[in-house]
Amino acid sequence: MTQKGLIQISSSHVTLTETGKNYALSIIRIHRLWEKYLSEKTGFDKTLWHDLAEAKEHQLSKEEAEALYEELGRPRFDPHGDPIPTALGEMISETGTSIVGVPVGTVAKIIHIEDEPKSIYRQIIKEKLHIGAHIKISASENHHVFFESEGHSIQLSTVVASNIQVVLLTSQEVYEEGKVRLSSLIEGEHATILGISTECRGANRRRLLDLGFIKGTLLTLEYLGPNQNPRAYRLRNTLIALRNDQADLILIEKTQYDRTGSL
Amino acid sequence: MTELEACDSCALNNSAQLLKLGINVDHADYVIALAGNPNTGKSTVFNALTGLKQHTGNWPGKTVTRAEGGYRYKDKKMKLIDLPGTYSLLSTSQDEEIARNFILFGKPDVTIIVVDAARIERNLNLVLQILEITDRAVLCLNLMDEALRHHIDIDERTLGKELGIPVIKCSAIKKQGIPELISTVHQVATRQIICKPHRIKGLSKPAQKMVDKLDKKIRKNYPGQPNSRWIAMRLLDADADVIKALKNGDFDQALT
Amino acid sequence: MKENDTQDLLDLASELRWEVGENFHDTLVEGIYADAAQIAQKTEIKQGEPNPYSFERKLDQVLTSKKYGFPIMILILSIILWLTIQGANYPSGLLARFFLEFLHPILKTGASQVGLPWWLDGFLIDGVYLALGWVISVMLPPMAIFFPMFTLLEDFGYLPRVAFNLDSLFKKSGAHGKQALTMSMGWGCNAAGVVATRIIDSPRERLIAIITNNFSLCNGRWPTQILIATIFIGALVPDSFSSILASIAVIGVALLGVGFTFLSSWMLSKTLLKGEVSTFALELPPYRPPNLWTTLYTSLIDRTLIVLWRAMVFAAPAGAVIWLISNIYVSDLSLANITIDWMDGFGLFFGLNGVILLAYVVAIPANEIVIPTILMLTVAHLNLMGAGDGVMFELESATETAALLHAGGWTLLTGINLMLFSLLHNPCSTTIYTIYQETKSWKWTVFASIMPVILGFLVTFLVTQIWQVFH
Repeated sequence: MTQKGLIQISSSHVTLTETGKNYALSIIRIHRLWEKYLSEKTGFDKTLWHDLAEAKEHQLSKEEAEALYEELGRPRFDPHGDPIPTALGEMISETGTSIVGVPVGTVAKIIHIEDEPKSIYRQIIKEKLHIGAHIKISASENHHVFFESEGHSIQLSTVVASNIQVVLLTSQEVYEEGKVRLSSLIEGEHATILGISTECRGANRRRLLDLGFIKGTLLTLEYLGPNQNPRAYRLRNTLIALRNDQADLILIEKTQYDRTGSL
Repeated sequence: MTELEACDSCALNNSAQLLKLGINVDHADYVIALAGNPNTGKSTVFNALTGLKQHTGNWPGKTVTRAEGGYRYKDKKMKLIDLPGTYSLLSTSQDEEIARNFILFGKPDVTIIVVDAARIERNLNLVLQILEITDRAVLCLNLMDEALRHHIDIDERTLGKELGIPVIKCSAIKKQGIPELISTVHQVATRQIICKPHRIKGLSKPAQKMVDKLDKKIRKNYPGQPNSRWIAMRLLDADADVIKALKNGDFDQALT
Repeated sequence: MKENDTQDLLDLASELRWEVGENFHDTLVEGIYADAAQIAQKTEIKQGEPNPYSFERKLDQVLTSKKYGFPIMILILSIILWLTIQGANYPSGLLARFFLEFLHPILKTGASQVGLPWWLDGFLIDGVYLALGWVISVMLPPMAIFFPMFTLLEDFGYLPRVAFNLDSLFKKSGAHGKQALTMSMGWGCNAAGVVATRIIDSPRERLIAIITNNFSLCNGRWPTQILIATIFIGALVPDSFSSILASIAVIGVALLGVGFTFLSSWMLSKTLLKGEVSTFALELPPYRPPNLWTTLYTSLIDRTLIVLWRAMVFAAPAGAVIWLISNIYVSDLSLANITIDWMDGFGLFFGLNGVILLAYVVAIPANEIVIPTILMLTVAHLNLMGAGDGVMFELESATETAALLHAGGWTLLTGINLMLFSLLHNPCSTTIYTIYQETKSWKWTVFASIMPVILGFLVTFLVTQIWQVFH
């Protein structure tokens, strides 16, 4: 590496040269672009993205990376919320803080979830936490953080929680107390859709939108399948069946209003 | 009517583009596309219009079933192309790509949009998208009998005014409304009826501003492009197909 | 337009895209639906009390209930299969009598009167014509019964409910609930089942459904299963129980196919296909009375005749090949006999024999002609007949067939393994061609063709090993 001029070794420590920094940034760019590609255009599970991108980052040429950048519509962030450096090596700086140390009672929004180390990433994924999710810190004690998100109470150890970065909600954003997942709706109950989680991407997201799962839509859980999954929802007078893992990604507020019969 | 406009309204004008999409229009005076959501009785409308004069196959190079047929009205031969049933034209499925490309590049003389009368709010999603692409369309309010049975009626005059295209109530399975549909399609094809299609207004203000800005630029580059607003919306959505079409110059061809 | 103008435009678009945020698609769809809601509100007139779709709800509650959902499904499917297999018997027999017993001798006489040389007469009439006649008479009636019934259920709105009921089962193996429908369609005909996968709009699940459709025992294979089960398995017990045991054996093989469908679907979704895009959406349309005549017409044209035509195109050359290998002699032995002797050792290793393997090679075009080919090859190999080799036939009764097969050295093991191999072998050439048409990929076509054969050899080998331990 020294010969390639990427690093320089002074008396006590190793630092990156300017060329080295640029090289590193271009590798990060390809890595994050590829993760973005995997999340939008393929069906690979998100726990596999990192390894696949790790393998790809050294194979893709600069030209190929540029073509990919164009094809993806010049994205700014990778699916973990990390900024993608531009071709010129500029990177938007992160402004989030770790969830650990945020005062109790604060409401915030997740902007970044670190995908390494994998064992910790898996624990975060298991709680169905995702970028864009609103959280409310309820307690912090004994090396654990307790918080609410989308109607669920979550408890994470400090080690795990420190891999989640949040920002405070802006003045336009409101923390919705009643915001829960569609999967929590009970047969016969009504709800208003508040939105689709950012975790739902690519073809899946577009399909749900096209079917009419958009903000403000009223729906009713009409009936469950023989195994509780999938479930049939009535919206705009049409029955659509969704699997429960899809319903996890749609956020709703329960309402009393029955619209199914009136349309 | 000037000569140029007259030619613009005849089917043969666009036969080269249509041939590229796999449609032979040698013996047809007008090309009619049939679009609509799945489960709206679209194929019943198709059968009611064409009877047994139809054949099925695949769209060229695709595994999507295509049916085409024909009928005659007032000495004019109409060629009817059944587009795949889709909920939208915005996603990237094969079906939607075919339907979209046919309306965009094939430029049918009329597009009949079949909707389920009992579910118009949901069906309008596709209708409004189609109206951004073409300005020659007829709305077929199908399954009227079923809607009435469920105590739903539609004020078709208001709907026609809102959408800016003719609206015909039908129950294709009982052959009700089909003669009216046929004569209205003919009137739109021959420009006796000029449509003023609805344009999407519900975008948020900042989004609307960006669409306008891009739209202006497109109209500058492609004077006379009828669906510049739609192209603007697709570009903002980073639609890879539209970007490719722009680079390949497909829109230049669609103009001539 | 000039190239740099286009680039300018694209640059402006992406600049604006940065401002508008990455979820413009959401904004756009929300905007469209906002307009739609407004228009709908202005134009919808609700008369009196809204009708709450009570009939549909009640029907749905029964058809998708935990208690009745599955029994109703199994009942309907059994009725369809029974009607198909039983109902096709009579017209099939009629067609066979017409093509094979009535028209065939007339053609032969005609040919000899015209003075056609024996080899051309044999090649065309005993080879090509007989294969075609066989395929049409065995294939056409069941398809003409099966597909319209399926289409009627589809138009009525019942099939989406089946997909809804079974989705959780298919989801576990990484597949789509609608695969239940393409799988059932495969019980009629695999080629039609593969075409039917078009209803699955998710790329990964569609590929899975295409590749695994061959595990659905198709119409061309049911008769083989029934015949062999009657001869070898039914014979194990007293006469009064034999047809019951034979039926259980056939159903067992069909269910084994379902098991392989789930297993291979699961393996594919976890390995080769894990990168393909996967989505799920299932609309449950309102129940509507189907349009009987249109359905009959379109299902006959779109499904039955197209598949039949493809099968005929492939069966004709197969008939020619079958006749040729039986009639071309190399030093006193026909090509067929040479190949059978050569393959016999390999076949016995898997509990099969040379006749079966050769029959499956030459009968790739259609599973329907496997049994006639096996009988013909057995006769030829035993040298029971001299002239007229290469003429496919079927015997009047199962007893006669049993006698012939026993004479050919068949045992219970051969019978069991033939049933297994009939389930687990390459798709017929019509289906292979259709798989290519639907995937446009040689890779998947080759994979879908080879994978079942490998499985077939694996399973028959294991069964043979276990058999030998006990004998």
